[in-house]
Amino acid sequence: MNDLTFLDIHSAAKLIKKRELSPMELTAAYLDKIKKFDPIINSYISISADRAMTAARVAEAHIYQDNPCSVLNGIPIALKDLYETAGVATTAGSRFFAQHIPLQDAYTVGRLRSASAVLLGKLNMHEIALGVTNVNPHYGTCRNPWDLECISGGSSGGSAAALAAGFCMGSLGSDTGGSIRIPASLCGIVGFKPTYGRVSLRGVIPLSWNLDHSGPMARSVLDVAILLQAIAGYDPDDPYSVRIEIDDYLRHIQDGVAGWRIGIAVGEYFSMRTAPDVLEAVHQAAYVLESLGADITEVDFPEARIAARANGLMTTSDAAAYHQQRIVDKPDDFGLDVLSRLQQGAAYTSREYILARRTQSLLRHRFAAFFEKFDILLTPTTPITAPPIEGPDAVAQAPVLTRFTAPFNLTGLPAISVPCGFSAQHLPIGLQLVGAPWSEAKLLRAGYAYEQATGFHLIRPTFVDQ
Amino acid sequence: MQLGALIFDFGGVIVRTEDRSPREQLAEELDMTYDQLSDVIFAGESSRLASLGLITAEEHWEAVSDDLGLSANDLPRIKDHFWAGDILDFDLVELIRSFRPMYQTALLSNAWDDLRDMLADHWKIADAFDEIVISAEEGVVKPYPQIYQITLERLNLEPGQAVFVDDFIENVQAAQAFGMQTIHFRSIDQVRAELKDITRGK
Repeated sequence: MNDLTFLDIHSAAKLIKKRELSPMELTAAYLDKIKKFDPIINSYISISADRAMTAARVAEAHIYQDNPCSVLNGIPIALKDLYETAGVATTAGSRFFAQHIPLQDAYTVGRLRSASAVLLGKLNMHEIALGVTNVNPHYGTCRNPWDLECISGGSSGGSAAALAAGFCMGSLGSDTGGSIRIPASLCGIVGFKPTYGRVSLRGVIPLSWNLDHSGPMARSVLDVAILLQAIAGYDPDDPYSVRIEIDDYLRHIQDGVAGWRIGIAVGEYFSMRTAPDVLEAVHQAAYVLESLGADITEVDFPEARIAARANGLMTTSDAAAYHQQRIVDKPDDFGLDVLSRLQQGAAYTSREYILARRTQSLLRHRFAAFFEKFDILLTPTTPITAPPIEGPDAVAQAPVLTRFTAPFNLTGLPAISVPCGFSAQHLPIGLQLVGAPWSEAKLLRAGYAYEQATGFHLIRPTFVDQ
Repeated sequence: MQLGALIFDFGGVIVRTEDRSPREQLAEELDMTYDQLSDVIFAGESSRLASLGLITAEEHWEAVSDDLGLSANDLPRIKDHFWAGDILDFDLVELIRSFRPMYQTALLSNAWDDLRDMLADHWKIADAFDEIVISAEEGVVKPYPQIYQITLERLNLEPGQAVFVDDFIENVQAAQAFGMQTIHFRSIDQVRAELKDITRGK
């Protein structure tokens, strides 16, 4: 069998079930590869090799004892290091949490463990999730496997880089202004931010109680659907969780987009400062969906600009509230870019915050009306491809990279990023598909149709051959 | 499905920069690295626009000239130096010709609007191809499916009836996803061997 570490979850699960692939062999292949090559990328903060092999042994026993097994039985997963894991340090990429060893798993981590997934370790992230570069002063910069001199994006940069490099088969990220979708776009993998309230946030170290979303990341839409199925659902102990029945995300995933009404975002906000190769890739994606039978219409959302601004204001204000004592006690233990944003958040007035909340309500209303007429909306995930590490600082990058993602945190709408092409520098470009609240199944269906028609998700970076 | 056509990329496959020294000297003269200079010419915004046919090759060179702080008088010499190490692979062209008339042959290139004339007048290989598809003329570049579709429509073939050869893995993978047979170019010997296998139905 070829490189096991680039198998997708769907195929690996089938092989495991048929006893043609051993979870122990698979886990060992990942651990070996991480040990050899992750020092180049720095996607992991901690690796739980012994625990992973033990979990793989249990998964293997399930197969040989013919126990009923989940599709994730024996599948090697890694977690952004703000998902609490019982007995394993959960740092949030911060010096403050370096010794934080939770007593309990986050709700979603518990769901993965119950499914007998194998947890390989904890992944690098932008410090406290407040930034999009993953240049982390405490745990090191996470590099982009497509170009080691470029950022992985963030804040779930370790998750995206590890998936692109073949260091895990699936991951969980978190997204407050684009932190799942931005690194997914920059590293050429799939990242899904579901509707606000769809996936429990209990046990996920918060950045913003109002805007955080938990979601899956993987190398294909199908794999993301499998992970979402495992983690989605109502959690009575999470005050932000919403009791709405979950769909079967795989049942109609192959049904295509024929007859769908799809909007493609145009206008000054989406075009003016967007790289030509990104715009071209997104228009080509619309062409592909049109050739699959969808009806494409250009739409303008000038309000996206104020939505992104309101999201940034609320994120930094909420983060300043959560970290208020740390800002006072030990400000120097924060990285400079994060401290600067926290101080900025602390300085906003209640009036500004209230106006941002007003924008949130207006925009939710506006998008509700839009999705009465359209099935989904297409935008670029980011206006540019991965910028160099040694470029403008993290504070300057944030408003550029979150430009198209942040409006959908503010509105809580589900949004998925799928690979849709490459820049002239051979860096991946992401296509963002946005839907109405609770339309996860629909977005997965569109993303699947698109990736099957193009195959961009199958292209791998070559740094591991070097 | 019966094989009907062989489709080749141009830059990096039929013409390759075998001698890096002229470009290295030029980069040094401009106080840049080789890669930085290559990026300005091939990966900058104006190159992309030229590859899409939104500006001409001449306009692209003017933009490059501005980026590098050069005068209009410098440009012909810069262009000569930049291309001086590029070598046409006559063996590969011969190989391509040898497949005709059994199979149609095509060239599919992400290139500026001057390529067609260059193929005819400078490289003198235009007659080796039944179809020449240039991104600047079509308004779409590889690896997007539309340009593969355009090429196949010109050849009047289904995707499974064509073999596509390119040095960039993303173009190869995208063509594969489109349903074409593909060869990732590394050397002429490797391409010759793989084409031999494919045409013999192995």
